[in-house]
Amino acid sequence: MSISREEFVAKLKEGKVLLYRCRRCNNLQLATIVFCKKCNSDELEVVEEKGEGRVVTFTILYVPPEGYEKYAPYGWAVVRLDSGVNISGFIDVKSAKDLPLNSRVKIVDYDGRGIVLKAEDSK
Amino acid sequence: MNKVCVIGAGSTRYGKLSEGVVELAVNASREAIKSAGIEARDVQYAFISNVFGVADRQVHLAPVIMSDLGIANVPGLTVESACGSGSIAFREAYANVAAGFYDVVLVVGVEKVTHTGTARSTTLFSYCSDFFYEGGNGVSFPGLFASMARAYMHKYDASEEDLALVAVKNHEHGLLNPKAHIRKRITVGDVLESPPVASPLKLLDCCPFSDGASAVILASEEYAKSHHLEYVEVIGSGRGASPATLQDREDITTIPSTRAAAQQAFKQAKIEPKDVDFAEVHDCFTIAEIVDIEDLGFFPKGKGVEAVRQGITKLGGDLPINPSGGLKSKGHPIGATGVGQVVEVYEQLLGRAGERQVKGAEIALTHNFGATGASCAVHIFRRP
Repeated sequence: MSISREEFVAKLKEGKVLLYRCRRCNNLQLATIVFCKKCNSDELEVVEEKGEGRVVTFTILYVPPEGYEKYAPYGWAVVRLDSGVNISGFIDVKSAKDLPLNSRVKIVDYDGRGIVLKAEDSK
Repeated sequence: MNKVCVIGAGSTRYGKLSEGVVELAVNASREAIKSAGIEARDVQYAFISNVFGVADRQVHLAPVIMSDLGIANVPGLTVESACGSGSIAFREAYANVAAGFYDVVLVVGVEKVTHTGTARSTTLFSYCSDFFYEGGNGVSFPGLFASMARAYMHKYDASEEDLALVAVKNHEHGLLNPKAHIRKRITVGDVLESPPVASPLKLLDCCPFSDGASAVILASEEYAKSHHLEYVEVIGSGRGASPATLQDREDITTIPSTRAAAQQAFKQAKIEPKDVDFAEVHDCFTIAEIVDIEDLGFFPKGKGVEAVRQGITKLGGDLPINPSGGLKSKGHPIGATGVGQVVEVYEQLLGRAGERQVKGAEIALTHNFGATGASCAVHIFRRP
């Protein structure tokens, strides 16, 4: 089966990420990539993952694009999910000190800001 | 394959300019045609490099620009590959001449964005990322390169002061370039104290938004020789691609498309990185120049910073990088940038670069990429 972007987003809103597992080579990837990026197979099965992981890198934005003015400063981070698959998103932190590399974060929503992350210990 | 050469080059000043997208492109093209010593009617085909013509209410640029050049019968098309559009348009022109489809091709890169302001420009540029995962989650291009910088500084021995050295150097070079956007000497302290844009990058780690146009004329070597034209040879041409997002890179401190394009270009040119006399590389942000000079094979991974500290990459050093001032000081009119690098190489290799002349330069390299290096082209040139 093939996952639409709409279905992918619906799961993000629940804090979950849809992945494809390749039946041929076992590679896991985001379900927005339609052939296995390792072996190019299209024999892919859908796996649902909790959107939790660790910060790989990030930035704090002080000069925002349009629509983000009221949030600035805010963060954007690349996250390695516990499955080993990477994703990225918006995170409401005000300072680099508040988001150490390798700290745990989770997906909490998808809205006008995009994929919304939160530090795991914050409410 | 036919041998290909550059027979002419022209450029407007880069900066906040009053001219529109068409006028800028026409002015640079006219200068290139005149410098080549040909007539406009000798141009057989044109590649236009542009990203945001729509911001100046003009797309379908080729027929409009050709009409204003008085050669409305000459066909062409627009190439768009974000900030790498210029070098990639050049590559398409190279391929067409090498394949023998045309003998004389115009490449003109142009951008007109400063009238839209910082917030609008930041937003427009973010459309060059994979918008679902990057721009659409609030990250700007400074933010993406800041994320690369943080990963780089975590992995290697590099500090914010080291990044600042790249800006200081390129501003020194830009002071010697009358067409540069920002002609101002700066210090490491100025960079560190400039306002934060996307941590750890500050305003003076970032290239400016610029307007401007650059143009070159490519021809088969046979055409150049039979018409007794002055020229610079293109001896290597490479293309590369990377995952569109940072999240899909195995290592965020390297750009795979640069490595692939450089390997192809060096292989074709039958030379090694050590044979290059100077290079124009894609320094949209200070961190980018450090990553570029490593990925191009000039320095080992993690050692680019040391080369900058030692002054190797300054004018007068062993390997001058961005003698034009680079994107950082010369400016970054995104469609023009990759073509402007070729203009610099043409002038340098013909000994016409004035105060910023790289003495005795015979072999030069250009490197230009789109977005965070999702698309890239590298070219190598030689003085015949």
